[in-house]
Amino acid sequence: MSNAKSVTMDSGFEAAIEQALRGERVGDAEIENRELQAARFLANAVPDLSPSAATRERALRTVRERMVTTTRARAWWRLGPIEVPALPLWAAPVAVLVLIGVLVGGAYALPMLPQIFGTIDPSAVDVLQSGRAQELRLTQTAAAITITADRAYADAHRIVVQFTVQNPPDDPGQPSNFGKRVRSSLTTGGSLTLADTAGHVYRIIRGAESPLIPISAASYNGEPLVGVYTFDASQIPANAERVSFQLTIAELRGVRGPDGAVMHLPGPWMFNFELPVSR
Amino acid sequence: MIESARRISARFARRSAPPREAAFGALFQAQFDRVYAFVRFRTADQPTAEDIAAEVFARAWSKLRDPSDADAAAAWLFTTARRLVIDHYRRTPPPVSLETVADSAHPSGLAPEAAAVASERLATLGRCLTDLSEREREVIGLRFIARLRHRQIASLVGTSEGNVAKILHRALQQLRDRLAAEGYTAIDGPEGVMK
Repeated sequence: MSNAKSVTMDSGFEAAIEQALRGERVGDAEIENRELQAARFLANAVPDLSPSAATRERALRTVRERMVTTTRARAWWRLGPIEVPALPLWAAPVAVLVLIGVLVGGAYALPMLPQIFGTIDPSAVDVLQSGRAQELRLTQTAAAITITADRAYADAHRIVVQFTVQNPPDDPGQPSNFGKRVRSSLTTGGSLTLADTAGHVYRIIRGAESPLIPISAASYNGEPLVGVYTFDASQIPANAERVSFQLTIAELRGVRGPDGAVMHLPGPWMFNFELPVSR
Repeated sequence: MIESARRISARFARRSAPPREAAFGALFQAQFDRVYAFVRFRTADQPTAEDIAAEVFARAWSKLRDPSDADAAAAWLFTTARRLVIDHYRRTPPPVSLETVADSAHPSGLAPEAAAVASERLATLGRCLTDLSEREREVIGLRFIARLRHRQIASLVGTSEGNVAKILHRALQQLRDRLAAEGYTAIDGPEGVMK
């Protein structure tokens, strides 16, 4: 009997706390007044502990990068909308031979983009993977950093460009809470400009940048960085079959050192190329 | 040109992703703020809380079998968060209270006056928590910050539901006594206690 009474009291107490958490008036006699006041104080403090949008974004990116390299092998091969099923163990040697054949046979046209791009800009990944993009392979070096404009694509709606920062600068990194040193993950910071010879400047619609072999933020080790950007093509003349573009990357930047100083690597890196406009 | 995490996450959940990815995106949206707040409550340090909360979800991706099972997923997330906080404390002495939280900028981008009130509230809470035992602080965090039910807390900390209620009763009474000693007086209504 006393047990049943205790359970009833506990559930009343739990319900009263739940009401306090929801900011509702609590009429239940199962909670003492002073407990209720403390509960309300705690409930009011909860929003003060909430993450900022930047915190949420950083955490999400860390998780996404980890997702790419998780031991669930399927994720390695899931590039945007295209999904290759995982192979059984016995097929691994065959797959390796096929992969070597593909690489030797000019597999440069098969971009191995980290999964994060498929999440942020699936249509750009689709274009780059489908073979519709034109190979550029243009290389520029500035500030001892080499950037390659890998491939690009244009149609009446968008222009997609992929580039790779081949050799991010050596960076001692800074200590993280997990005892590793985190190197700066460089970014262009969106300092890209795409213009054409007629003077049109194309607006960036979307962009994503990530290490080519993304591990996690806690173990980034200076791998090449890849960027995929989509530009608004509405300024391409309606009847244009080909357009000459100039892509400019103004600078690279990152955060490094215990003082959190931002590292700026001034370019510019400039690439001139001509693309057919797909209709 | 950097998208907000919420938009990416929402698109991540919406697009025709495999079911597990979509479920994981939804789980992140539903639970990240609670996990982060709980870890921050326990560690009183924003960068550490960010690291640990991200680590919780990174592990969830590789280890959580069914992210769409909301109850089981929440239990898994908070069990992992609790363990990572304990691991963190093994390497770094635990802070006594949340007072350090009040020193950092308020995360929500509040107006200066509101941020000052929030900081003061956290500082007060931090001082009040010093009277509680480690177990009481943890149960308070799991109930009020993580918003877990008594049954889930009991399972997490390895005790009975009745004992969880007792711990909460005791902790809330002590907290109220300390709040009164801090000069906080009660007002009637959902706004809670005001100075």
